[in-house]
Amino acid sequence: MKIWKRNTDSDEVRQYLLGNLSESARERLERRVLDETGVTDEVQASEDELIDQYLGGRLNAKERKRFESFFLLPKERQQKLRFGRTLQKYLDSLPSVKADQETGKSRFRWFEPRPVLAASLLVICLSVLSALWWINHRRVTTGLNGQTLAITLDPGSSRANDGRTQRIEVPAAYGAVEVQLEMASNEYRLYEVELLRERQLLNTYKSLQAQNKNGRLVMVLVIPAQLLEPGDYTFRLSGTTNADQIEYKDQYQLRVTPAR
Amino acid sequence: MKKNWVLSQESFDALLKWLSADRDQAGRIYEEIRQRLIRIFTARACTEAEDLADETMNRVASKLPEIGGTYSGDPAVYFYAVANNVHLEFLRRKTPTSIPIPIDDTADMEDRFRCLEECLGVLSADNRELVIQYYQDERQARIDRRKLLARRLDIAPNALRIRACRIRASLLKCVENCLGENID
Repeated sequence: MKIWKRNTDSDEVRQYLLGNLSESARERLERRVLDETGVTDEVQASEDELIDQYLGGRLNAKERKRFESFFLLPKERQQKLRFGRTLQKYLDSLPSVKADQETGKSRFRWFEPRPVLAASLLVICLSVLSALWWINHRRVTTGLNGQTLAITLDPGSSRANDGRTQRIEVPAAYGAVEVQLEMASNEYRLYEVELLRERQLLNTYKSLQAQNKNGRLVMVLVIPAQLLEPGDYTFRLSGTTNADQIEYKDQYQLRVTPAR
Repeated sequence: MKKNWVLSQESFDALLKWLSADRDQAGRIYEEIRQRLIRIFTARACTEAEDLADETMNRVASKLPEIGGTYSGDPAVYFYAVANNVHLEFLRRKTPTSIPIPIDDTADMEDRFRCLEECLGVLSADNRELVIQYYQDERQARIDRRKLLARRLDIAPNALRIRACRIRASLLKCVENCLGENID
């Protein structure tokens, strides 16, 4: 079996997709497309990368011209381009988590040659944290801790239309938040709700039943307030069929903003 | 191929038999070759890749009575040779086209966005996480993120790349279905 040499072969596939290969080189590659599954995968992945580079403005003038006049001719690729745009827009709407926040090794690398700066920042951070603790402590002791904040969320996407995202301030003064998810119909006996923060699953609430509140059909969840730190939350509602299959039904968005 | 030649059940059966004595296996080989021919015609920027692949399959079926008993070797190679002829004929008859770059109007984008969110919701949590992590960020941040992701999943960077590409393909299909523009 021929081993796929990632870098050199990827460049060749890229030129192939832009229609820049000689006839003999094209024929060699296409015979491999017919014979080897790995090559087909490589072609697909390179197509996606070209599309992302085009959308990101990372093709040079010559590549861009070939992309528009050759690569984009098939309808299938025009669909891929539209999809690439949508995916990009979706990803842009998500809060970015910097890669170097994910490894302890690289997280502190910047500070290594700057011990005085690191110590100063540490002192500042401790001061800020102390102040925040004091403010929070005052609010909790004088506030509404133990009470429940009730909010109602409408179904549907909201990132495409920011005006529909329900926002609340971080509910630190409350003991719990009662979230009512509005439902159009009640076709399942039982439901479950996944709670996600920034696309990370926080909790799954199972064996839930729809309730009627003042003539509205809602799913009620009671969430400890301290769980709702600032960030974007998604409630993904699914129904359980009689055959115990989980079927996705709807999702709801909530943005928790820092306290002013 | 003779003009007005139509693929009959008999010709189709003979083609399957030529591909493999096991009919199920032959069906899989047929579809595999067809899909790869579509890939090749698409890569050559043909606007009618599926039609050209079907034309190739039919043309091979029509030639079987002549070559079936004498041709030895991988059938895929024969299909490829016929595909080259079909492509040449396509180039001769096609008129030069200049296509506009698809422009998103806002309404269409909102529908696509909604469908994408729905389709992401249908993915398993692991796949959803992977596709978001893989395609998020730009340049160096993206490279760093992908390295971390590959390390975390304990797979080679290229295996991660292919996995992300397959999830992306399934998302594309789901979004097109959601929009009612079914593509296969």
